[in-house]
Amino acid sequence: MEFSITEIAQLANLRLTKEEEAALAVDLESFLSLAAQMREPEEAARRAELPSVLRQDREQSSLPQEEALQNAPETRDGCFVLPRAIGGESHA
Amino acid sequence: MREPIPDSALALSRALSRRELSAREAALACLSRMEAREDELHAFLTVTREEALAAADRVDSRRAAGEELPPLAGVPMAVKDNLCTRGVRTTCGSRMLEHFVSPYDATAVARLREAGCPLLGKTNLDEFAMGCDTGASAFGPTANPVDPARVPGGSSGGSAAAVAAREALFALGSDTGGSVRQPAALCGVVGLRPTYGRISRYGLTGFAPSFDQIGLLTRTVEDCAAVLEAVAGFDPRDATSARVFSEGVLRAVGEGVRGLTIALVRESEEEASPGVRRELLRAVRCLESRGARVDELSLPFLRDMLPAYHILAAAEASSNLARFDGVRYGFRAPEAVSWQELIRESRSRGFGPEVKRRILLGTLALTKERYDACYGRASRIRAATGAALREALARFDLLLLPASPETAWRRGEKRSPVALYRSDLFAVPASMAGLPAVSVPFGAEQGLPVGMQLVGRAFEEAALLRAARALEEENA
Amino acid sequence: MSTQYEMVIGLETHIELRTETKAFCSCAVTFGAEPNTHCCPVCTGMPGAIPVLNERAVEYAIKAGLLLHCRVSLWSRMDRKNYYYPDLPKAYQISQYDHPICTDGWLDIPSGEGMKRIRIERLHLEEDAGKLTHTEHGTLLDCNRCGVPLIEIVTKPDFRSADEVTAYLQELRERIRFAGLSDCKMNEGSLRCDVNLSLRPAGSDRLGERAELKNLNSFQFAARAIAFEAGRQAAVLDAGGTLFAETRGFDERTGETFSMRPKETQEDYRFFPEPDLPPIVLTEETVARWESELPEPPASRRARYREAFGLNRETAEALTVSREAADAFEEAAGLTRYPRQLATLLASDPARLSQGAIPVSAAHLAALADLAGEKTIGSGTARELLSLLWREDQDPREAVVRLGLGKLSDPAALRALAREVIAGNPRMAEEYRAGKTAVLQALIGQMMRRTQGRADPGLSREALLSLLSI
Repeated sequence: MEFSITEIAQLANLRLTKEEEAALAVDLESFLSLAAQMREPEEAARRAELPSVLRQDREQSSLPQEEALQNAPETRDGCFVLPRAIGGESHA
Repeated sequence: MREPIPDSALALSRALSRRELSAREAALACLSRMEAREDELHAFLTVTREEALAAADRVDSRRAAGEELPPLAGVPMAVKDNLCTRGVRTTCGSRMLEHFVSPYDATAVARLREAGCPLLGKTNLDEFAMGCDTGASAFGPTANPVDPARVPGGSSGGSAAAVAAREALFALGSDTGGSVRQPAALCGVVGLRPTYGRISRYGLTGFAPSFDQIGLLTRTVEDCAAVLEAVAGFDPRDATSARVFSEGVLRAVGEGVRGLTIALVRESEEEASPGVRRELLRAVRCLESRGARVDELSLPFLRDMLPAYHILAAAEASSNLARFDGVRYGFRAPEAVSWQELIRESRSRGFGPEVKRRILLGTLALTKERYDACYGRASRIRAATGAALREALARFDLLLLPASPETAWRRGEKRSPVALYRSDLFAVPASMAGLPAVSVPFGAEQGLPVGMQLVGRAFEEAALLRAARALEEENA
Repeated sequence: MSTQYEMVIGLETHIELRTETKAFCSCAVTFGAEPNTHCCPVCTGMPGAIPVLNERAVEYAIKAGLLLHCRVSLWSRMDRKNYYYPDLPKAYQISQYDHPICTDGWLDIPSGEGMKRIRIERLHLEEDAGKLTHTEHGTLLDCNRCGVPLIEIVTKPDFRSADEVTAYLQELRERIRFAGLSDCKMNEGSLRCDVNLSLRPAGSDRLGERAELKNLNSFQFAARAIAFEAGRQAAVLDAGGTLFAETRGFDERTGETFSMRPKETQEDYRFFPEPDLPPIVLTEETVARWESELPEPPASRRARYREAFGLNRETAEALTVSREAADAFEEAAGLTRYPRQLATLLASDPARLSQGAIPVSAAHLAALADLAGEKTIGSGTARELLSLLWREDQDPREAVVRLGLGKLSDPAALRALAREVIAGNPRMAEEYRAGKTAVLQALIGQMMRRTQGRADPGLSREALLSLLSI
């Protein structure tokens, strides 16, 4: 059951202290072993799900700009503001 | 001291319509009750006194004008703080959203506001509803009103405590893997998790959307039916919302259990504490004596459902909580020099340890290397066990099992994460299959309330509440 | 580029669907609006806000798939693609992973002398991200575009030249646009394409390490980027170097591609089924109805028009610039005795035809063609009348009478006019009489001018001749 807690934290966009890393690695391992004990069902079944509700293509009012931005930590010219990127602006 | 107000939402509703008291008086009674108890309980994170009184006044003036009002008009409510309330902060029990004020109402909240229910405040919860004792709230724990040295359960512990302490006549909670039923059981109130799709999830800051369902915490089974009728129903803003009618549940509650066939889940007997087991067997006798047929049923897959549930819920949570990045709202790490650092630092400092733990677990379960062994296998177990449960419910009208394997434990008692997850054991089946389930107070173990759980067929809440009502009568 | 290599290219094209509202919420789809004015809790990823899929987005995606001869999935679902980027409010894109809505299609494109079939692997539905603007005060985020429905169309690596890529994009754009599914404006970002390019020694069937070229904003840029990149890869190989899989950008100023990141650092997107959205379940009947609503593709219409009405290529192309124009033409053509005049008349202003609904009824278009065909009005008048009808639809026959636009064919009136023209141009009359008969055309022109083109040219000529020969 090998995994890198650092890589997982990286994917989850969390910075962990060394202590957190150690403790969480143990927790994650115990979960993986629980998961490994799960018995696979013999027969495949599909979850009972109602089909998706779809929406009609009809416009309804959006939020006023000030409400869209009301919780923003920082705004400028009607936009959310954040510091610039490190290492260029390459898109994911 | 004010006159005590009626104990249940429906009794209060009747008193209000007979004008024995005003909605303002009812709201004031709740607010003074809160003043008396909150220091000890900490059921509320935000109290909306002015708003409650204004809403109550509107009900009073409409009544004075002779308007015909919805049944719950003037009945004060509490709302779990992960349900969005326009103009009132919605913290989800997290530093991340400490100052977040929603620009919109959750559909369930909007419907109750429309029905004239004054909002008393927002109740405490485990951070982002991840936990089972309300101890994982970033703003401090809630105490159990039955015994303040004990936990109220969770994650809707604030809502359960508020109703148990009569601070509010009823409360909304949310139930992902038992977060309404378990605290209801531990605090001695009624807790309903309706069928998935029955109540719109729009505005519920859920953590695992395929499990999340808004639930109700009430003082009586009838109240539960009445509140369900007020909040349930199709909502075009929720793609998982069902187009089914929700009327007639309240009328059916008193119909008794004669003719119902109920399955006692054998594994729950084995896993429960001695006192809980005793009450479970007493519940069987009670239901039989009232004309129901009770048989034993084995659900051997019950134990497999728990890890499967936790993997799936954590996987969904890892994605659902990714939006909390300090960019558009919420906590922002102030000194970040790049947006990459801003997102990482805001998340690392905005989330508490339990939330981080589940995010990491869920992230791990979704990585390419683990997907099939974790998420994939858990999904297959979910599908198969759900099918098995539905099959069981083709033979039985209801399943009977405790809502929680044990009663309220002492606050501060050290428990391992795995032990805490285990407390969801009996709650998880209904969550996994999207079935309705109710916890109703039934007996006690060493003076602490025990909650009995009934699980029913999809959209057959009426049968569920009929049996719950029978247990409630016996308990009285 | 060295001739010993063959280019192998596959395309991923993103097209914004022309729905009224976004994919998962009821905010309007707009372009160039004030920032964050078409946003709601859903598209800005606020707590508790959940998506509901726009049924028209499903319809348009499937119609696009049908235009590309795809197989339509009656059961499909949305998935979450998880990654952090500030223009993605939820930190996941709702997309489709292993159950795309359409698969296995193809599109024929002109290549060399003949046609070539490009295979389409899949077409799926997803949502667009917001817009970031990098300023000296930091990065600004506008969420207006967040949640706009997109289709992503992925081809097999079937292209062997930049020309084939351009031909494909042109054919694709025309079909999608003609069916009204998207504007396909590359400059506004409603059509974007990524190119996967690798080289291999000619004759080999092994695939080389590929570069993914991102965000090419015009057909020209795509072609230039391909040419540059193929040359670059060939140079590396010729020099004995090795290529590695990477994502590259294109600098529009220099015409060069540049490395953005190697592929192996590609994130693990942790796809999983979108739990807020149950599966999309469709019936054969619904798909059949959508298929029946699709227009005949423009290329086959052009061929038909040229055959039936003897039109030249330009005219046929102008008429098929949009479905609205082609439909209007076809309907009116069925009502007039002069379909060819109708075609020429409509095609005289192609820009007008591409602007959506045709505001003139078929009956009036046909009547106008009749007036022109019968020579009741001249071609200049016919064009003016068409502009008038475009502004305000009306019966052109009544307009001709009301505005006195019919041809002047009264011999007495024309004779009087001819007299005036000759009197006003004594030098020309002199020249004519001196044998320089070519000036007659100029005098006829004068008559036309004085009558805004209404004077019957034949009768005018007669009137002038009779006066000049005196």
